[in-house]
Amino acid sequence: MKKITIETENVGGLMGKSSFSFTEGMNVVRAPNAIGKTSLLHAIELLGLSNAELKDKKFYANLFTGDKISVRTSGSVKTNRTFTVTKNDLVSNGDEPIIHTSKGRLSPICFATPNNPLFNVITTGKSLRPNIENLSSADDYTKVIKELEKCYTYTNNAIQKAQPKIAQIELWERQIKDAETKIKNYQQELKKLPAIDKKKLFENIKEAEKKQSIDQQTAKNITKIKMKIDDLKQSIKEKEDEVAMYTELIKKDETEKLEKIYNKKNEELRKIKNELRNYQRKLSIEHEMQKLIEKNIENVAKYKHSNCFACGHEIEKTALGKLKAGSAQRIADLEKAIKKHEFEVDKKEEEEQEADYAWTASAAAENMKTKLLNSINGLKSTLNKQEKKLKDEQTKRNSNKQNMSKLATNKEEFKKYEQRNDLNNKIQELKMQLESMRKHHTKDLESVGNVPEMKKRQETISALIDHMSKRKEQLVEEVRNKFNSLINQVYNDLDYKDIKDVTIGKDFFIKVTKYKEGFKDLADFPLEALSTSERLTLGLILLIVTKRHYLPEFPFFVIDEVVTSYDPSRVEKIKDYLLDVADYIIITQLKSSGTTVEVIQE
Amino acid sequence: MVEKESKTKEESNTRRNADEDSVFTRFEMKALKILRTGHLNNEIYELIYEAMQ
Repeated sequence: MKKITIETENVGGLMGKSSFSFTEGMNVVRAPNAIGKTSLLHAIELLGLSNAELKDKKFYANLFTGDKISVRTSGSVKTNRTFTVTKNDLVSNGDEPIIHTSKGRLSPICFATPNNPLFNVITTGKSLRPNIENLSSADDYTKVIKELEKCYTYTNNAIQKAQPKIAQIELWERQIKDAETKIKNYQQELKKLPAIDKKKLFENIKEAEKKQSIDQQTAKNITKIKMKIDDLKQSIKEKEDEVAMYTELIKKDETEKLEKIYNKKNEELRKIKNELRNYQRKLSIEHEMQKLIEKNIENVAKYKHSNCFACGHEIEKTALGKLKAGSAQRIADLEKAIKKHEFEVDKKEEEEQEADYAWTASAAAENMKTKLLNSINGLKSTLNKQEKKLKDEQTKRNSNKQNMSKLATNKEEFKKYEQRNDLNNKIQELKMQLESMRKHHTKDLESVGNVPEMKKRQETISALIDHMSKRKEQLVEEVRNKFNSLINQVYNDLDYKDIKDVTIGKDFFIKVTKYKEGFKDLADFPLEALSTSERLTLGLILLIVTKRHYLPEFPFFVIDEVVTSYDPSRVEKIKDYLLDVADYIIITQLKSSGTTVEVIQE
Repeated sequence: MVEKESKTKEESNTRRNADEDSVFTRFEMKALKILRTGHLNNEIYELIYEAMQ
């Protein structure tokens, strides 16, 4: 048979050292009030409390800060726990508690005293949920959920506070996304454009521009030449028209004929002039003759006869008269003829002059025509030269055309080069904008905290709360179901005839189904409908079930006299059952007199 | 083919749910462990951060 001795020092009302021995089975602790019964129960409790559970247990010591208390056991369980009283708590200095799984449930499970919470529920008919939560470790879940809710609220407050800035941040984000998309699109466009050798391109363009300049110069030359050719053709045409005109003119006037006429007139003039000169010579001779005759006459008059001064012949006076008259006649005739010829000469001169004019004009026309023809020939020669020049220029231009087409290619390449530049510039500009926007975005984010992160955290917290709540409910439900099964099992084992069924409902209120006297049918009874002893028995059974299931390793189970005194017969009935719950069953009893706490084995 | 795709999707969903469950379960175990040895306080933020990853 197992035995255990508990030695206490300064525990509550048990001042100094005390020792209590218990034997396996039922032990009755008897003492009058205020002797140390409760302190002994505290000492038993101290055996099982973990260090964390010692908080707020200073009153167990009932001493000043710095004092020490101890609980030592020997026998079936050996331990030596010493404690120091601090400002609010007890601090363990010695061995570990004899159990490690009480989780704050030692008193509610192992101490069937009037202030046991389970008994409170049974007697007051409250919901069992807090007790079941405590048993199921749901309290831990509640604490975690509470902490999570605090975090959620804190995060939510931070998000709410950041709300005005969030709109701006979202705007930045949209703009950043837009800019990124644009950059991506530009970069894709850029990829489509071929890479260009800038130096070579510019050399080509320079060369091509030279060719273009040549082409433009050639084009100008061609235009000039064409204009010259047009001018020349025009001049030639004009001159040919003139030639035609002169030709027509020459045909009409018949130059040769006019020449002949002129020659004829000239001949006639010359002839008449000769005749005139002859007459004038003859007149002159006649005048000389007359003078001679006159002289001879003078001589004859003087000398009767005389010889001619000229020929020496003898001349007669009569003859001389005749000669004189003849000479005068001849002179008159000659003067008449001269006059007539002079008139003729004037006339012929006029005619000759006219013929000369006509002939000269025609010759001038001929001359002009010749000159014109020569000029036309010259112009034609120039025209030929210009046409040749034009042909040369056109050939030159045509040969330049190939370079011109190259220029077109270069232009196309240059266009692409410009597109590339344009795209690169746009990308650079956007990147700068992006950098600036990112800076603002980061700054705003820093000023409000990381809202997306906070939102994510909020979602996670929410999900964790859900999970923990579900798990909590699962555990509570498991305990509820287990309780329902275990309680009814105990009732069945104990064979209470009047109780059919005890159920902890989903609302965690206990409902009892009894065999009601005089009724065949079963009926549900609320807890309040049970008698006090029935309720206390039910409470005890609940504790038995709890102890067996949740703290089987703690070797003590304490029952207060109050619980047993209501219905000793029922307690007696469950005595065997109790013995199975713990090694040492301790029942407290009030003793009317005495100064010590005594332990009696039953 | 469609059936296979739908099966794959279903498997993927199951896997994701399992992953999420394992994340939550890990959080639950760690949080309870910390709680039973002391107080959660700021450690809970680390656990939340871990669950977020």
